[in-house]
Amino acid sequence: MIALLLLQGSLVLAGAPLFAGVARRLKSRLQYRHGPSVWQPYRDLWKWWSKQAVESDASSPLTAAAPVLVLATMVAAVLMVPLVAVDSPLSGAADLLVIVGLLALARMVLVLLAFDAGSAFGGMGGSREVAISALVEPGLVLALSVAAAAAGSTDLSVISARGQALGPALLSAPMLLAAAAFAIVAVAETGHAPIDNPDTHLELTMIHEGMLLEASGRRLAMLTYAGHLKFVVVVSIFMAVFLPFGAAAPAAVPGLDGAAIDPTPLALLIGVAVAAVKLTVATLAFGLLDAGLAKMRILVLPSLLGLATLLAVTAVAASLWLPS
Amino acid sequence: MNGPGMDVSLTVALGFLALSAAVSLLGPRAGKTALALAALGSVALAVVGGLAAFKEPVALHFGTILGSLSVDLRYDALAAPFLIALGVVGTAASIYAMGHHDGMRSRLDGVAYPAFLASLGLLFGADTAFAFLLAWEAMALSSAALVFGPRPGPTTVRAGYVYLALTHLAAACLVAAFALLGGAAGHADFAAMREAAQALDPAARDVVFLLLLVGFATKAGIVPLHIWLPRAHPEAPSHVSALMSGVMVKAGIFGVLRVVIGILGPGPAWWALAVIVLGAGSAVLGALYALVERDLKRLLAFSTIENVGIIFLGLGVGLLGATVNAPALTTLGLAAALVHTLNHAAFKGLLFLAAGSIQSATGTRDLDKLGGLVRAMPGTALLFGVGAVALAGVPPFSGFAGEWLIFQSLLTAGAATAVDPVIRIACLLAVGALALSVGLALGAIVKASGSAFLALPRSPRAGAALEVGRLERAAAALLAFVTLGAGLFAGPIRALAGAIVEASSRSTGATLGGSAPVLLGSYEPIVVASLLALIVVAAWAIGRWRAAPVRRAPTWACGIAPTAAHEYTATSFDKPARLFFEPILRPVRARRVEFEPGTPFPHRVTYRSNVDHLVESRLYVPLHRASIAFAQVARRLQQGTLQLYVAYTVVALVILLVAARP
Amino acid sequence: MTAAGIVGAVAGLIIVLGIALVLTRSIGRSILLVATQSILAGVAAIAVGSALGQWQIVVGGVLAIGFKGLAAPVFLRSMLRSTAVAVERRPYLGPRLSLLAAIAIVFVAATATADIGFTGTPGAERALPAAIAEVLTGLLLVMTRRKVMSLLVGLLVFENGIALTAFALTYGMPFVVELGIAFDLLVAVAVGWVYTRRMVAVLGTASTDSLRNLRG
Repeated sequence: MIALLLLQGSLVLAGAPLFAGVARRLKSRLQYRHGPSVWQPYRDLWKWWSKQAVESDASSPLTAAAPVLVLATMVAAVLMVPLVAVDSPLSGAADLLVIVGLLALARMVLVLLAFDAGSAFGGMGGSREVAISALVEPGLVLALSVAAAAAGSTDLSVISARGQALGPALLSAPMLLAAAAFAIVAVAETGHAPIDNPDTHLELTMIHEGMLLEASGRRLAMLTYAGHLKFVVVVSIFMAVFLPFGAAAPAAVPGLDGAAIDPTPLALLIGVAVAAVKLTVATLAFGLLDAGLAKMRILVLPSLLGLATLLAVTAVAASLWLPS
Repeated sequence: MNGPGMDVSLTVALGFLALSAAVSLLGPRAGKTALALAALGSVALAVVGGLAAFKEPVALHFGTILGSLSVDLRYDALAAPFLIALGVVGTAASIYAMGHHDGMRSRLDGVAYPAFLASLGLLFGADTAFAFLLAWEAMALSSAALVFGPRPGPTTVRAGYVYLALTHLAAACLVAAFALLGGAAGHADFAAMREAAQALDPAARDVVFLLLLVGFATKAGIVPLHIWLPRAHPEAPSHVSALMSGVMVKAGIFGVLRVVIGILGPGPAWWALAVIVLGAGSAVLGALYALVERDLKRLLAFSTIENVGIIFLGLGVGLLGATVNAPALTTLGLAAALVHTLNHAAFKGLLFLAAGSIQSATGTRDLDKLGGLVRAMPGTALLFGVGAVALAGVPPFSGFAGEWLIFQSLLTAGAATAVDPVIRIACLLAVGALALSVGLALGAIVKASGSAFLALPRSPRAGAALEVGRLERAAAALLAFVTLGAGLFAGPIRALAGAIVEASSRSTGATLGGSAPVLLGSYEPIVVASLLALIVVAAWAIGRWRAAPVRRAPTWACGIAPTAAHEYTATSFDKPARLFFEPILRPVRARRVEFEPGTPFPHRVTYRSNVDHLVESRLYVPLHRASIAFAQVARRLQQGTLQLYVAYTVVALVILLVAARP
Repeated sequence: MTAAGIVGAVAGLIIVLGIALVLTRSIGRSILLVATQSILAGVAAIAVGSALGQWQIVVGGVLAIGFKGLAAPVFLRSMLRSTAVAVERRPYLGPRLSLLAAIAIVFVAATATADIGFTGTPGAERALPAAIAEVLTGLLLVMTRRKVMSLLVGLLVFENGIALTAFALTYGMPFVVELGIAFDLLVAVAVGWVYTRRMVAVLGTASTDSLRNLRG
């Protein structure tokens, strides 16, 4: 529905950088610093927007096109994933595999961008990103498949609706295991500790930042903003699958012509508030992780990501022998 | 009405191909004409495929040799996607070869190439065991001739021999299987074998299944029977590699569909489990070895192994559906396999053609020596990019469409309560394997595209590259259009595949699939593509509105003027992956530093790193050594005396005579 | 004489000639003996064929006489003249042992075919033992002689035996097969000729035990 599309779209597009600001503020406070204001990301974006872009003379037209592509992918994902309501704003387009695929598309373009500048930092960031995401994929897809198999659909709206209908009974053993696996994966996808440090610019510790290093001006603004949007997307997927409570749902009784009745405006407002709370909680959680955990050595990452895959596999096995 | 259409098109196709072979015998000058005729023949083959998809199947009788070996053809709906793939890729490959200097290296090439196309075309319509095996052998021999070429070097000779050895292993298994089936039936035609196969006892059916599986898996390139693929594909000329990867390995898939599912019929659940396990293994290992490969064509060959594994996953689900008698599941699995077959043929053909352009422009396939080609070869770069996004399995492109369907089929199988829990877990684990292989494949193709085209050239030859001719780009562009179309129109293609499975099951009487596939989710590529396009345009516009002009400057390299030595090479790019997957890859690294005499300053550093291909070192090398040892022992029978050998024969004869006395 | 009588007589003569072949050491003489064997077999075939009125047996007999009785021996004799190798000097088996072996062969052939009931070709109960004896004699010659020419003679004897077996049991072999065998023999003899010339040119001798050194 149009109202949902406009509502979710405008709120997320306007509010995504805020969560990054909150996370940074929390980290600073935990480190006994005053820290920047929560609105700092907006100021950063505006600063970059106003500056001239510089590109390497080894680069190709891809450097100009990539930020636009990455941003478009993330905006599309934001508009597809159910956050405020159980339904996706673009009804019928919320297939979880498609959204995961869009994240992969963004990653692919980003790694190619990293290649394009011809610098070693880009190669470093890109190579690590590719290897880590390969390890992340099985855990991610398996964790979501547990929920999909239980709900009988890969559409996030259907999974979400079923979760809401089940209530607290949703969190059975297989689902909890899958949620744990997805949580680890989410840390990897959003680039937080202990897998990546979002604030560092040291050569050997960058993954995501490494790929963005050579971007400047509006391009950097687009890419950073796309990173903020990605955080919202990943958290939304988690919430829609594992904690769908509070999202605006269509009326329980279908209307006179058999079609489902759209959620009432009150339900939508409640959905917005609940979504904001969920996102804030997630932001605080990630902030705590960033402040509390050191970044892991890259050699040790396979064991952590392997743990996520193992949890997901256990969830799969459990779902076949335990009711979910 | 239906019959004459297909009859005529087939005759036209074979006529063009025969003409092409004849013309090529006139000499090297006639090469272009011969290839143009081959292109026309391929178009005609695609037409046959198109007719087969929509019309009722028609039997064509080509003749009988020696009274009992008959060559019967019957093009039904199942042959359609394979014929269309053959036609499209064949046309593009022939046009590419017209512009390429390696297009026709000798008269043998000129005869072998149309023979290759013709044998594939006949294989997809074979209706008797003899016709099938004849086409199979012709396909193997003609492609081997193309791999060897006129003046093969030692690597090429080795590759060709490994290829021939394995393809004959496959043929031996197929002959044995057909003999068992035909013996039970009394006739060698598929209809009779289908009926007789129902009456075979379970042990015999298991044996036949294993023989067929080994035979077809070898041709398809499934691990562990894959070792010929990464050797033979790079040695063949690019247009032949495109056909081999795009269509010939699909002959193995076609064999499974036609013979295992179509003739042998449903079997115990372990059949499906075996296929799924083989598919998952090939998918992961193929993608992993592709990621750490630095020869561009070998990388693409390993990617073919990965994609064939993915197709096998769909075939496994189809077999599973036949076992538990769930036609919807069967249709879903087989339709998924068909869709991915078609899509892979298009984008892999495209990538091989583009790789061939890179090789002819720079003279090398080594990714560590390429770079910066996007400036010299923008057309090829764009075409390679289309193939790359398709291979990476990202929406809204064609690779994702096939892989999405396979995901759906595996999830459906995993959720089906009629299936044994162990197999359901296997299906869901296969989902994880599929996800892993897609992630690794994305890394592999990003590495290939980035190293080849972006940043600065890493060698003088790459720096001096020039764009290839129009014909080569046009051929690749044809496949690029098909790839993009297959991505955007995935919905109709999916419906068509489902219809083909249904039509094929109706016409052959085999229980293939009954109803339309029921999907667990929805994927409308046009919606996704339009959404993306809209936002891209909007973002682009906003990004350019009153923006300051972009400044170009050298990359910051800590104060040094940046050179190609500052970039990551392809080998360095896969280093984290080599670290993560060390237990499987077992990388070997040797580094030697030579110092200037009497000083601690290095004069030369030699670095060699390699990945151990486990299947070869743990399976084939020991087998090889064991057979050589056995041959050494058996040598003692060879005394060198002619008369002794005759004596061996006589002794054997006498023993037989004594033993055969009633 | 009836057909059966002719066949019986021919069978007896073939056995005698076989023993003679094993004993003789002159290659020229053995060529003559094998030619006679072939002609006799052909005569028997013609007799049976005309008695039964089946033309393909007659034609088979004529072909046997033509190819194996006349053409091949003539060819072999000319090869013999051109290579100046005339005698099998030291066969692997001495004269007494060879005779013993030949008689053993006849005995084996007789006992092997003793209790077979014959209803087909007239004279088959005499012809089959002779045929089997001829096969074994041919193999014996190949196993015990050193010179290539002797090996070729042994091959001809062996083939005679096969043809006679087929004739005795089934009125001869299909025409296509007969032609094939004839062609086969032609090729074998030609190859043998080339082989002998090469051996004499390179190794200086036509004896096959010089080939032992070539073992790889």
